[in-house]
Amino acid sequence: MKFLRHPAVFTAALCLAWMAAPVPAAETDQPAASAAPEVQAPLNDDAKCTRCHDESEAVPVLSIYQTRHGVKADARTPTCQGCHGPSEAHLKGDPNQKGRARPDIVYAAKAYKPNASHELAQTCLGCHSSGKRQHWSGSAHDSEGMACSNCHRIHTPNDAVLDRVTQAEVCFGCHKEQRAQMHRYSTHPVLAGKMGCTDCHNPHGSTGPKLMVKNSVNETCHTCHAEKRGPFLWEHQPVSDDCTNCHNPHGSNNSPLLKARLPWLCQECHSGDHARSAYSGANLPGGNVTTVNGNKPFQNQSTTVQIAGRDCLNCHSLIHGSNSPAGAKFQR
Amino acid sequence: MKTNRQEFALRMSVAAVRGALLALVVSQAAYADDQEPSVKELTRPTSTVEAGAEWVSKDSFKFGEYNGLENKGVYGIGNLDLRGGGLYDSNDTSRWRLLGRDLGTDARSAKGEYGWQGRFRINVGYDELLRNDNDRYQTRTWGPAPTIWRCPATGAPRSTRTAPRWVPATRFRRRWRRWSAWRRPATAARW
Repeated sequence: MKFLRHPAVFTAALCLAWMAAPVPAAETDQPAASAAPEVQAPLNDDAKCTRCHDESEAVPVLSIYQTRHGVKADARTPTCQGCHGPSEAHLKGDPNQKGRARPDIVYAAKAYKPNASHELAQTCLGCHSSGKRQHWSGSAHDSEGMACSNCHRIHTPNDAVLDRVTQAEVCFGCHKEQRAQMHRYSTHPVLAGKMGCTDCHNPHGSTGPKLMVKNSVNETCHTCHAEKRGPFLWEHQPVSDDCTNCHNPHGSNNSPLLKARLPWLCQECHSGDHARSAYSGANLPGGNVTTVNGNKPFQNQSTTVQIAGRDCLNCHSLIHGSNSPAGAKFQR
Repeated sequence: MKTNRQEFALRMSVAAVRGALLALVVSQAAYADDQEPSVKELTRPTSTVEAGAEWVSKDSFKFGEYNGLENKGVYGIGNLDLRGGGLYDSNDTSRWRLLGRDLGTDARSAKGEYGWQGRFRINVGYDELLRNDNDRYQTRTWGPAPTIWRCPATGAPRSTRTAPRWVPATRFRRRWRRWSAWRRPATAARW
């Protein structure tokens, strides 16, 4: 540590520490006096609220000006009263009343009881009613009494639900089962921040089941897994019906995202021939042949090999469908 | 005999300068802690840059499945979120953003965004995704050389006892790279 004794080094270290120190505030809390005339009117409206709700607020209020809701040069941008209502009683106050009357629209303030969810949603849907929000009315989240402010944070430039990395944590606040499934052995890369819940689901409402972004589960899966879509010369019925017949998209301990381990997953439907028993070996190399010339055994090979490795998929590897003329049983 | 001793010199002038620098650092830190964030800090687009180094002690097939974390020595990593554009109280509705995540790893992603609010927005993105897979299966090619193919229920009886060939556990790594670009116009009054 002798080098620290050197005067130049010591001085340099102090300079670095000074540069790293936070810069003290020097500006006042008044809005920019040089604001463009076109934006001065909405700023004056906002000043009615920011006169009290200024930078001293514990909950971020002024940071909304970093977001798209704060760009005053855009004529569509609402003022404070545009979302929270005129709130005349709240502005005037009443010296005979303890506290202050509530604003017209309260979203998540702890000091007042929030408005009904449909009132809150209608305030946002007054502008945001197109695109992905067309089917909000009557959707699953609407039916559960949720409003936009239950998931979205408007006053902050970093809305967690709009960022793929942090989005899942917002959903996991209610969907605990999916949170647990996401920690299983085989999952989609949601926790890695490569996917979000909204890559498959539209929480604002959807025409598909389970709030799928497309009209069906398969359509949604095929947006990424297009090679499973087909059409195939030989179709496997549960594949073309619903991917969740075999897979659990939120997570599974059976790779890849299978609801059950092979061969038992296949035996949920297949009970004939050598699928009847995992140990039958019927019609398999080395197993008992039961459909050709009676029960003629081949070499004494253990028949349990058929449940090792990929189990049924050792032979029936093209299980999602085959285009080979000889692929009726998905072996090629 | 003349000696050269590198010691902390206690000359008055040097002590005064160093004392002043130290007082400046301490006072700034204390003053800033007592101050609330200014209006400027709350209303101007905020940029963040994170930089560091990473070292993974041991490869893990599962731990590094999607995040690219593996034992390859010490390497730099970083995140950045740069934002800018017009101020909220100006006539300028332009906003831009440059976002980079997990830079330095094999799961890096980057996105650039520029637009005029109410008119258009352009996004360009790049993303890498890794996928580790571990598989073991048996084939229907029998014997020491992969020339004998047995089909169930049709194979001829064999004179020697053989077994299907096992492919040992194999780890696969797949990498996806995705470039994306899209433009979003602001058309209808409701959006």
